[in-house]
Amino acid sequence: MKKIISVMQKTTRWCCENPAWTLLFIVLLSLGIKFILWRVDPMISRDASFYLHNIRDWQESGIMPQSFIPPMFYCLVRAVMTLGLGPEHAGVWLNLVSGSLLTVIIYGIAMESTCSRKISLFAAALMAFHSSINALSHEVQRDVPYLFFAGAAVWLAIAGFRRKKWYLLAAAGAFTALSLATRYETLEIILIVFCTLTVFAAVRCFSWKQSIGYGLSFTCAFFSVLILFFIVSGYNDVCAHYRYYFGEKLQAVGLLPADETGGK
Amino acid sequence: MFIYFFRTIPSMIFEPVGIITLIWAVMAFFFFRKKNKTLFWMFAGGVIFMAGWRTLCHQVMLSARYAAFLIYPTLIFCACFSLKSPFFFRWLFKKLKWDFPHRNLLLKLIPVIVLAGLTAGFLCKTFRIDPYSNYRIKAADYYLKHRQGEGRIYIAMFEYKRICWYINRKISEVKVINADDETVPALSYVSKIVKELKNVPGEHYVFFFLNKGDVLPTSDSMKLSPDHGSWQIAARYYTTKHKKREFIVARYKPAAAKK
Repeated sequence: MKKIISVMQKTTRWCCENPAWTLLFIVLLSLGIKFILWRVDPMISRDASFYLHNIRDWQESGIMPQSFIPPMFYCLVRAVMTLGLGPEHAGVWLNLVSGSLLTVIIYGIAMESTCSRKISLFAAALMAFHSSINALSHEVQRDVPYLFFAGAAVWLAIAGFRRKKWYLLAAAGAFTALSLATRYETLEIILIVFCTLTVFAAVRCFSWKQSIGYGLSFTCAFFSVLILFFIVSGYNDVCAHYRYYFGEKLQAVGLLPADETGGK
Repeated sequence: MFIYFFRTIPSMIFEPVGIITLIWAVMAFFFFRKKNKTLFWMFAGGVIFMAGWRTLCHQVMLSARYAAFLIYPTLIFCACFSLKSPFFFRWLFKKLKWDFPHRNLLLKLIPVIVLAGLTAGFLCKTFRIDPYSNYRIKAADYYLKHRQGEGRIYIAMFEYKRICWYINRKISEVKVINADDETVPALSYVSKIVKELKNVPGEHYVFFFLNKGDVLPTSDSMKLSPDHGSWQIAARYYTTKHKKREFIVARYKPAAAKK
């Protein structure tokens, strides 16, 4: 038993001394598990079929699908399709890769919030095996890219708060924009970031001037990336998409007449 | 709301992870309550806010996957529990004056036990796949292999989009029937469709579920006269290993079309 414990301790020490190699191994392990799962269970979910129909329609008609989901996921799948893959394989590979990289994101978040390499690698190892992440990663779902972008935003925001660097908060804002263009649920991160800035200023962790500066860098990067996304992915298409989505919402509450949604 | 908090969120983050997270949350409170760690409190506050936000949002948005973001903090909490709890237990054993052989060994093994246990649990859950769950792919393969001509396609199920994708058809190209209630006996709506298709040329396919105990729609059970054409149950697949439901691919060729 003592020998086993000694081997474990040596392994742990090596992992902590070589985090890059350990993380690479964890990422590859995660990718392998997800890939095997995809080969064993290639079924797509109900939502995936909806996305795939929309992507195929977009491919055939050249018009961005106007549905209730934000357009980033469709754009990402279309981008992967330029590698010569079909919509289903492009969607799955996008999720397999981004799902495997979630281990790096959790390592970063844990490293910033606990400052312990052991805890961070432990959390990354758990992420590699997590059943829900595996289930979401081996098919066409927008949750995994959302988790990737939102996780990166949280990681950079925590790093920005700890190190008091405006550019880290700007990067967090950029990832928040990408995440918001994938799932609207990201709005909570914006709320959390501004609440944290206010509380930190109130408890004198930052000065009010610093807090406002960080908030501005976050906001500027957020809007810059969102506008850049609009331009890169076709301004008119994306605008039509959002007009359709928000038009429907405004119609639902009676603020917009039925013919002004810009939708189908 | 309670169902979402106590069932949906734990099932997404994995129940043992949820339990360990709660244990660590209580332990962390005792560890950090006297320390002025603003970042820790902001992190904890953020997690509580996210859990609360999701629970409230559940009133308008019925998505279990929305809880997926909580996987990040819960796994970090699990890692903290595994690596920090030995210190807590050592302190507890000392306080209780509880000494037993191999105490230190057991404490050293806590991280390994947690990692091995959770990994085994994750892998079991990940690879616990019902061998019958790919019935849609099998049914679609059957259709693609045996179809002749371009007849109409009727899909009697809520998840018709998946079948459309697998049979390489657009949603607008198929007719969806009985999409709201899959417990309705198949005989009622299938016989209605077959009678409607009597004078429509082509080879038509109907995809539908047959619940255990329901009457199978055959020429006899649907009381089709010989001049109606040929109705054939082409393929049938169980949907789960419990074999309580079948997914059926049926082919109908009206007599008018044969001539």
